[in-house]
Amino acid sequence: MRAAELSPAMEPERFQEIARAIEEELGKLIVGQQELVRSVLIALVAGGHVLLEGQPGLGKTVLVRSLARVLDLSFSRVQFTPDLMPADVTGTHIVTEEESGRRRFEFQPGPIFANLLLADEINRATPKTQSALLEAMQERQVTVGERTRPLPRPFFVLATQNPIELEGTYPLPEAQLDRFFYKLLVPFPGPTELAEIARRTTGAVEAELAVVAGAEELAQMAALAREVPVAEAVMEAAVNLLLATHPERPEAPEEVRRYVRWGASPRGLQSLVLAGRIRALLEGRYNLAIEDLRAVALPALRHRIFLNFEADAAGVDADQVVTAILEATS
Amino acid sequence: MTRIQALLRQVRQRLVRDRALARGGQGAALAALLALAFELLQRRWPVDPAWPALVACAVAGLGLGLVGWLRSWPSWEEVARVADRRLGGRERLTTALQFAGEAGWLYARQRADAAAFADRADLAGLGPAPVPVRWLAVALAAAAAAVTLALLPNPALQQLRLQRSFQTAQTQAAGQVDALAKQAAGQARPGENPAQRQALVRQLQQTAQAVRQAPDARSAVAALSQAQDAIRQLQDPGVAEKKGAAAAAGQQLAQNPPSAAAGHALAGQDLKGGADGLRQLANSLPGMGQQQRQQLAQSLSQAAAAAGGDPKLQQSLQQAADALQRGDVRGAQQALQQAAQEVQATGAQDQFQGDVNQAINGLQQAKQPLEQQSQGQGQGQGQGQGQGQGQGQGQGQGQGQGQGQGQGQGQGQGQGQGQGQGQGQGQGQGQGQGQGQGQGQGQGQGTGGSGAGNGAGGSRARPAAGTEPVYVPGQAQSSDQGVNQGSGPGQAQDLVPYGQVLSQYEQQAIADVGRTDIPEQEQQLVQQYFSGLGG
Repeated sequence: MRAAELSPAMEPERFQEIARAIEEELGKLIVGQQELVRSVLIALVAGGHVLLEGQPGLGKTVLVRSLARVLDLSFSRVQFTPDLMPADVTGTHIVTEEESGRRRFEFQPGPIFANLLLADEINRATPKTQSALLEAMQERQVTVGERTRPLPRPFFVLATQNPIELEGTYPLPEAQLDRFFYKLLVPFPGPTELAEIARRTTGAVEAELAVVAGAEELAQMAALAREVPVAEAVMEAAVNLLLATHPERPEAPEEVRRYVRWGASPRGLQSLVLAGRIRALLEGRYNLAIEDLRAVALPALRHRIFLNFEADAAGVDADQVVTAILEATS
Repeated sequence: MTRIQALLRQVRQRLVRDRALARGGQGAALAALLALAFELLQRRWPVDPAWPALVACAVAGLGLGLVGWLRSWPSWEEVARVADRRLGGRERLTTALQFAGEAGWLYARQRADAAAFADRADLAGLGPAPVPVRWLAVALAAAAAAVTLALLPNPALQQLRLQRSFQTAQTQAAGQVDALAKQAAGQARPGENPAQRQALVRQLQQTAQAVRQAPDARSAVAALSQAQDAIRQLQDPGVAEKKGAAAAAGQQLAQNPPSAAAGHALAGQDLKGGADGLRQLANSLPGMGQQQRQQLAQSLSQAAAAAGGDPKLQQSLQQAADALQRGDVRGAQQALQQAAQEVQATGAQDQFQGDVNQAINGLQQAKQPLEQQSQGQGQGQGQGQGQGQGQGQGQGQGQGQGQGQGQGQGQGQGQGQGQGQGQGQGQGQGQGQGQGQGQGQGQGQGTGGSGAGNGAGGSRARPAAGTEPVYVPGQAQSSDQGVNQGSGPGQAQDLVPYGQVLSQYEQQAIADVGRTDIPEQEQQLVQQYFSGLGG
């Protein structure tokens, strides 16, 4: 009998309570963007990294910094530029002098040694630097010299990239994109939200964020999410959803056959199911539903579907393809 | 789980009912489509009777629907999925059902959540029972089309029925002719001509075979008619005369006591008894006195004078009379024995004639059902070809212009050409009325007559008025494949006026029926017929 059968890691009600508190706290600073906040929260509970894509000034940095504060996590930010070196991210050995006057090499950790790392404009760094970061994301450890150092737990990377000003950028390769649990699009706020942003950011009073949970609670939430039962029919639906992204599969709709070059990897299925489990708990349910899969399909799959030239020519993006898949499998 | 199972039972009940409706509609549509296909195929390959196949179509369609319904019997997992989908359960029921045996606390929490959902689930969310409108519409349309096809005339089916009816009649007729042949073979008698008996039997056997092999009713009727014609060749009109001569001789012999027994038998047309009497008379001659012999010689001489219709009998009786007058008892005995043989031969011939007539009548009876078949075929063909051609059989029918084919006996009237087969006793008369393009319709009576034709003839016929002379062929011409050319009303070519031939026909007819094998009542019927015609 498993331990989880004897005592819960966390009561589902507590799970929902923490999630609601996090969202409320973030809502003090982040105007609107509830869906974005919910998605980031799901990714954090799942232990996955998030790629945020949106125009500058939409509050991406504020969101990440606020998350770190609310969850009482260490936070660091790296602005990726073409001259950024891997050591600038992972850290390096520097020569230090002891009180005795003896000099020695001492490892100076890079900004990656934080619970929450904001990799700003990740597509502006060279592939070499990107690769160093992405390897650390996958392995959750950093090897400098001959020594491997684990990264702190939890470890989340929230990378941003600007969909405009693509001149001089290094788009992330497909294999690297697949390592992100979610790719979230940061929408431009509406008029009401813009006015509220202006009010909050230009006033005299700054919002104070409270810590509502820590790394321990986050780990318990993750453990609980992995206990959510999944029926065979739902798992089958998840598999069919993933297979429908592959143009050579019979399940694929016409849009996939026409515009998709490569379908999603098995990591996409993992993202779908895990994110769906977390969403089910957030919705107050104790089972994964097909509705959960459909709700998380866009952020979980959009960066795992690689379109062909015809899609570019036709102006078709991954979201349209995923939407077509959802319609075809409804 | 009890609450969940209760909900699932209700949903399954509903699901089963919905699928029964759907499969029922599909089965009905399938059955109707099968019936329609069958009716379409009936146009090419008819089946009679059709109802077993139609029942099979219905059974097949509804049976497949039933099988489909049973095969689609929902499992509990499927019921749970449907309930989740239609009632908004978000896979609560599906998950609870699958992990019903799991002991984890989260599974227990999930089952409780699913049970709570089952409690508040509203079955109205399943929606109304789906009526398979599309399938029912298909079923109705197909059924309507099938019924329409079934009600419309089906030439192929009619042809099949005609063919089957013909086959039945053909078998029956062949059997009848076979029976006639066996009967004729078993009736051989001493004194008759064995060759004639053999010819009769052989002709009947050949006819039975020909009827069996006939491709259609007309051919069978033609074979029977030919057989009748051939058998009539075996008829000997002299037999009646011989019988008359024997009877007349018998009346003379009856007046003399020694020859009275033989005389009475002969006078009563008991030819066998007469022959025996003559033999006994011959045997008794030696015991007679001279006076008795002279008286007997005188009686024999008178009997010989009366038996002019049978020269052999006359000669034998006269020889016996002469021998007795000369006192030549032995010669008289020999002459009387010859007379007895002649009388016996005449009796055998008379009985053979009876057998011949019986065979002819039997053939006629066998022919009647086939003639009806032939008429049916003719009607069908006539309908199909309009003014082109027509065929028919029956009594006294004749047609107007054009070409016609007929079988049987009788007369055809009309212009153009006609083919007729058969012959016989048929005599008729008719009055033609030309109409329109000159198609005439004859009316007549007789023992069968046929004629048909239309269309291809040339000239228009004048309508025949009641006072106009009506012409009939002077002599019925028929042969196996003969061509009967006649003129219609108003054209006297090769024809004689009706009044001139009526008495001839009457005499011929009365002579033909004046035989011992034809009942007197039937003979009177013929006489009444001609009396009714004013002959």
